[in-house]
Amino acid sequence: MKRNSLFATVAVIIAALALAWFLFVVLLRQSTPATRGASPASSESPAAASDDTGTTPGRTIKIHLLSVAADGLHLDSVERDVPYAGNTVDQATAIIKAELALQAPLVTAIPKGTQLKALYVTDKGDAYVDLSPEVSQNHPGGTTAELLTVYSIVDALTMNLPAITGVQILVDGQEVDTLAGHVDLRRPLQKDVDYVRTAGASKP
Amino acid sequence: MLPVTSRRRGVLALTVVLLLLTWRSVAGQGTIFTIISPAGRRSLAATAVHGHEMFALNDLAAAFQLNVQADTLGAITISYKGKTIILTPDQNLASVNGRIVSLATAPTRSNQQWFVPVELVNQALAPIYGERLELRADSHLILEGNVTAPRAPEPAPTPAAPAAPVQPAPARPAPSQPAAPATPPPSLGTPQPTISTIVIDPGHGGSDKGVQGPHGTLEKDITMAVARRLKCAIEGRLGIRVLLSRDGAETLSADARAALANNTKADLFISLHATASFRTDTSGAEIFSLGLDRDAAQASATASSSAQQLPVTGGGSRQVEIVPWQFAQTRFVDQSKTLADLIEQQFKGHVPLDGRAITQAPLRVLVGANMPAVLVEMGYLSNADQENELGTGNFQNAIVQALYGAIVQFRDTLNTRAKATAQGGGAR
Repeated sequence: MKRNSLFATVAVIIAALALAWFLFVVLLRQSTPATRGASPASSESPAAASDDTGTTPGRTIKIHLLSVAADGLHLDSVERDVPYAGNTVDQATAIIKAELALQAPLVTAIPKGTQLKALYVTDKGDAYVDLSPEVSQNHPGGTTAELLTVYSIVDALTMNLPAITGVQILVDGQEVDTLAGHVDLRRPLQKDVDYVRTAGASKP
Repeated sequence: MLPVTSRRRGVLALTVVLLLLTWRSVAGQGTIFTIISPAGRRSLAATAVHGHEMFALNDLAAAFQLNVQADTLGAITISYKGKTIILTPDQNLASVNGRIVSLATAPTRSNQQWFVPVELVNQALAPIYGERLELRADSHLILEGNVTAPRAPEPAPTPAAPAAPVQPAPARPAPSQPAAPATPPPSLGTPQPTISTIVIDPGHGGSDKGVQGPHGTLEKDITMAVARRLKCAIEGRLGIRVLLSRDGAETLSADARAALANNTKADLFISLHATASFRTDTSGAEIFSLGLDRDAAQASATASSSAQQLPVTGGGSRQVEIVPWQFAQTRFVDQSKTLADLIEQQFKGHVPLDGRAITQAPLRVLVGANMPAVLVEMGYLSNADQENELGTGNFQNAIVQALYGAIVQFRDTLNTRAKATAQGGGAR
């Protein structure tokens, strides 16, 4: 009998410790910065594009980034590991940063020098990706190249994050008509996989 | 009988005379025209070039304060007080303030100078000059403004020339075109009312250079050159009014381009571009029409056009259809796709297409066009070989011929539909 009560006491103590850990570590972590803790569906806050990415150190997920295909007309899907983030905004930020960081021998559709300035996600699932002016200033122009630039951003987010259904590109914090005079950027664009080649997806 | 020395002198003199005559016939002989204006008289030299009396364009420009600009691809724009004459080298058609005029002979280049036929004064310059300008070729006079001069008597009919083979002249001068396409040319027939105005939009312009090729060719120049050729071809052969969204170095917004088409009630809008790729070996043309994603289609459906009674000047009212600007093109998505398909068909075999050939995409300049509208990327300036090709007259003419053929086919398609609708209505 004494042994049973001893076991019960130990079990209660263990349960109490587990509850305390849960309350102090997990809930506290989720209730701190709104940009990182809010659930993806309800977040509408900016995630500063800084080193403080809100990702979980050591944990990664596989995503598909987009580089220019050999024909120059399509995007090839490239698999990459990026840090896991517990919410949509941080995960979207990690994906866009990885897209901007693609390097040779891959050919990227993102003009040289382009930086992510901020990223927002609305309740509706529209992501607003604020890029630095280089995305427009260094763009080679032409409808084809502009479509690839735009959809390498739009599809990178919508293909990897089902919570994001539309993407609007901003430049230096402002809404813009186009990047180089062709593609209408005045509203969020939806996923368009016609630009993505499923066959020939490469892994560096 | 003449002594030998006298005979030699005679031969020498005859030789000199013959040489002089030969030189005059080859080099051309000068004629001085007198310009008579209320301010006085001045002279303008004409030169015979290839057997036709012509003015050096620089002299003509100096005499009448004309502004002359030649673009990198050869077209010459003569402007005077905001009105323009566009000449295309070696073509005897000119666009005079938007109207096609047949010239006596094509402008030509000789000794690094442009020469234009003297008749250009009456045929092209007088319509834009603002005040009276009359060339009297027989008396070598140009009357400017309110002046009078007695007419020279009609020359006596010359005796019949010795019989010489005479080639029948073509019924109508036509712009030089590339080699005949493999497909038979579309039937032109009588101009149909379904398309009476076309707006051609030379992409970019002014400070917006568009794509720049590795050798420095600018997209804005290529689009302008092709637009002018296309305008000449359509106006000259179909009699359809063609307006260019820009006629020089203006920088225009996308909405301004569509607004011109909407305000002039154009029946077609064709935006011309040359494109670029991140891969330097990508080449070929591609035709775009507007593509709508789900959200845009839904927004368009809820914001459909509505008819409203609006008051008009002089009393009364009339019904006006109100179409939201951002959804103007949505009503024409299918027709625009049809036009894009026809252009693709016409390009095949004449203008190389890229691997996609046809794409529907959310393109800014097409959104506000309230008529069938397409954007044609004629080739890749980022590809050095295609950059060279895009600058040649042959390649540009091939594009013009293909677009022309597609327009004729599209017009025929509209006519067929209109007839079917009319017959259906009559049967009811």
